[in-house]
Amino acid sequence: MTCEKYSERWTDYIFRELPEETLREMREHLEGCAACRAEVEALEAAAGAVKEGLSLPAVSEEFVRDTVRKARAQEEERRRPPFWLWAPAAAAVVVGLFLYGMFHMEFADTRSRIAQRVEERNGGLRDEALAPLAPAAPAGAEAEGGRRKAEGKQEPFQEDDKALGGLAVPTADAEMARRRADVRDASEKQVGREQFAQAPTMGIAADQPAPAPAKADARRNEAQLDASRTQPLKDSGARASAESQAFEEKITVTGQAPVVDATSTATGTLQAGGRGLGESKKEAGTGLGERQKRQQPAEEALAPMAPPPVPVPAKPEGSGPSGLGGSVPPNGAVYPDMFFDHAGVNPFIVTEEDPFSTFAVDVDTASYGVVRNYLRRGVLPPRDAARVEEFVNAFDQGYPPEYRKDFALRFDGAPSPFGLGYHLLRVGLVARSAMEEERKPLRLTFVIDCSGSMAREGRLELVKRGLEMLVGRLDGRDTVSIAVFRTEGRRHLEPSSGAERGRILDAVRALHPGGSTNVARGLSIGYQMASEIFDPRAVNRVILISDGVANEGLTAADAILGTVRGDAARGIFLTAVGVGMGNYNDALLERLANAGNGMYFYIDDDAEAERFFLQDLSGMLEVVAKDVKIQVEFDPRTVARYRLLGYENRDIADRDFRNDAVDAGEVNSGHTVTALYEVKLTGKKGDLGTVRLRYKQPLGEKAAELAFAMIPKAVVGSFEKALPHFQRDALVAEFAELLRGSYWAKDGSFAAILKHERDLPPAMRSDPETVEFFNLVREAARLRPARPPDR
Amino acid sequence: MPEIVAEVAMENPEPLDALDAFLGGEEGAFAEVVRAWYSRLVAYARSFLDTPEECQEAVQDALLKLHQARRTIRENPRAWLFKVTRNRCLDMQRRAIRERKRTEGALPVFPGAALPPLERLEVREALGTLPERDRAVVCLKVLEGLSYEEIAGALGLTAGNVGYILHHALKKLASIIRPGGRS
Repeated sequence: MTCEKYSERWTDYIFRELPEETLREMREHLEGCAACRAEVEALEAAAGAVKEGLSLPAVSEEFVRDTVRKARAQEEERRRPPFWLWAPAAAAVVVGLFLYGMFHMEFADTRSRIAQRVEERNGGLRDEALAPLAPAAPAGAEAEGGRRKAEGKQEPFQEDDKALGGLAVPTADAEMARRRADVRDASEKQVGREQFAQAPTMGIAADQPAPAPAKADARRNEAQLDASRTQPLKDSGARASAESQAFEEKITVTGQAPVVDATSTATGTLQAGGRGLGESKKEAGTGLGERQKRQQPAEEALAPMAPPPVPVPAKPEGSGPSGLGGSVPPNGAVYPDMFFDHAGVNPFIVTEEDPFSTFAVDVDTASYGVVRNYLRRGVLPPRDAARVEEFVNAFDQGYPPEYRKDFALRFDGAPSPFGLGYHLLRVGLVARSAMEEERKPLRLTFVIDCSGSMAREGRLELVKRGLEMLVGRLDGRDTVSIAVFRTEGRRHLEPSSGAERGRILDAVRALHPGGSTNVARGLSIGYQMASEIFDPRAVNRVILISDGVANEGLTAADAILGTVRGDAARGIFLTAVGVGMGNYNDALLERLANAGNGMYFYIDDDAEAERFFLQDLSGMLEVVAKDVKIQVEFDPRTVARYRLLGYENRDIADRDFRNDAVDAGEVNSGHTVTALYEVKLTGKKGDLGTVRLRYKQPLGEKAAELAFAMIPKAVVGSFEKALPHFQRDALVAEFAELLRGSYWAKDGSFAAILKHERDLPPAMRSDPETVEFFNLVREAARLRPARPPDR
Repeated sequence: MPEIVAEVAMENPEPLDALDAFLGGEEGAFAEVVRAWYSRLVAYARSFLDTPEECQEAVQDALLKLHQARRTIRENPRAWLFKVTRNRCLDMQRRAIRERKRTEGALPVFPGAALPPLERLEVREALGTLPERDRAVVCLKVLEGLSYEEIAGALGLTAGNVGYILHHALKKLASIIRPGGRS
């Protein structure tokens, strides 16, 4: 016995989710209808059972305390400003004075520390290799003698020094001699911004008595004299860390808190120059905007510290135009508008000296898009716009997806097509792909306000940076389209697969403000586009981004709402995003969002934009791991020396690999990260080394570590035998290096890359990404037919 | 009888004061928020997760996230908390499923197919026969007394969907529970 009258509505009735009048009618009906009464009772019973059945556990004070404590810790973690932000200019002056006094101690300490580290790791294997060129440093020994003796470090230090002298020659072979002559240039380039950081140090160094060169000089001398041993960036990482530790110790020893504090602040600044920019994905985000933001204060903080060009002790032959201590950029190049990092180019490293290559993963691919944009407009990009790792990672790597483990590691290698006698190795990281049931595809339609008011406070730029971040997280399952509105509305980006990142990014970058604000028109076009790509199995969403000052067409929320309601019912939800403060119309957006069954957010700076685009919006995408670091340890028996292509600004001190407090990259579901190494093999049999991967679960703090051997079987005998994607990577990396003006590509040319086009396997040659790539190379060759003017 | 259930619906022991105070910038209120929300969130998490430990972890994560996002939450904060808890639970569930897949090579099966005698069927298990989305709707409504609108906001549904889902979920629960003769 059933009653159809209110059949589906009794639940609404018992929860009173109906107009009062309807409720009254239903109550009346209930009195006369047994069937309906039975149904209501059953529903109530079920609800009651659920309520009773799920008992509410009592909270323990311990849990409360624990949660509050963790919240505080997390807060501190987030709030802690990068140290160079609060390095006041005044501190720089104090630093100068202080460094003078501390120089030797620091130097000595650092040296012995590193020596010790190496010993620990390698059982003395590299005792000889590591030591600096510097002769014994009596001044340092005097200054810090008591302390160092107490720590028993003086001996190894001196041994280091003795051992060092003869080192350069034996390791240099003919190949190296060739590269060696110009190595200083490479190292200069490599140092990039870091030179600023070192400037004050060197200024002081110039005043030092000759027998006790300052650490930076020693380092640099070392670099300059021996190509094979040049690794300023890497060393700087280690050095900076060692330094800061030295300072930490200093604090305890001297107890001169205020002054020492300022000093260590400055050390932080030095460190920041070396690798600060590459550090935290979490904090820095993946956007250029954030990066830019961070860089500026860094440069500002550094600027007052840089003295005018200073004489450099022990300066070797053929110095570069800028000198070492000056504030002129390497190679006399003019710094562009601080938009790009200046992290230089990694040098070759002799495995015996330092088998460890440690860096934070980087899933950014923005660099390739930026460069493509330049080239399409017929302009050669600034060299620092080209980042090798981002170029490589912008391309599909052809790795099989991984569904079970958090990460799979892929390794292969082949003779380098550009460096005779060298091999190229590819280390690939594949993050677990979400299984189909784990994440829904996204159908995102952005409706973006490009009216004149969006130019204020850089609102539109903020949105663009946010979108760029988001695009990096999408893949082939997703579809994105963009509608824009000014005085009128129009379709801006036709529905595009999330895998077509370049296309989407181009569209995003082409957005510019101007005109009035016709929200209604934009929304109606947006919903039209959204309905074209509607997929009932996907997350369908229209994202309205505006400062909400509708002043064209329909301006009243209610009138605009009419269309939204109908579409929301079909499962296309609206997310409204307010941008900028001041005159943005909160009420309109909120009402729109409510009507569209959505949420609304506002963003007013990069951090908020990041939170919205990366956390809230792409919350449906799964983050597999955070703080992902890679350490490749090469085996000196099989690999004579190696060079990491790219990742200059992602460098992490070797010792920090297991330091889980060091922030590193975040990796999303299905993402791959590839690092290329150029290596010189010794020809001996055996594994090439070990790849270690360290990461944390997205919400955990416990780090996991994986290790993989690089087996020789994965290295094929000729470039042509390498996997098609590997072959393309080699060309892409060379292209990036040429654009970057990498020293190591100085004998290369765009034409040489183009020669390889016809040798690629046909399927790879006709791949759209490949076709586009070669078009860009051709464009670059047209713009700069000769080899890059390095100097 | 309807009146009783109406009580369920009306009952809204919302500690809005603590949460509001906290979101209004009263940082010290966080401990109070934790105290006030622990029970309901754990109860909610229980509909997704197997062990109390997991529930606790999920709830703590959600509360920490609340702390982190306190200046940026623009939705109904209650709905937001449930949403975040749910997402965290689903994460953990997936993790557990993966774990099981690895060890047993089989997906866990909800006891919907072959139900044990109904008297012994715990409410939790009965809820377990519902798809997770439906479970979430039921819990948010019955335990928390959120409005359809709020539930819709938290789960990314429409209010109409919520009503429909809730109705059929309760009917299903009723069909499981009724033969057992709830006295």
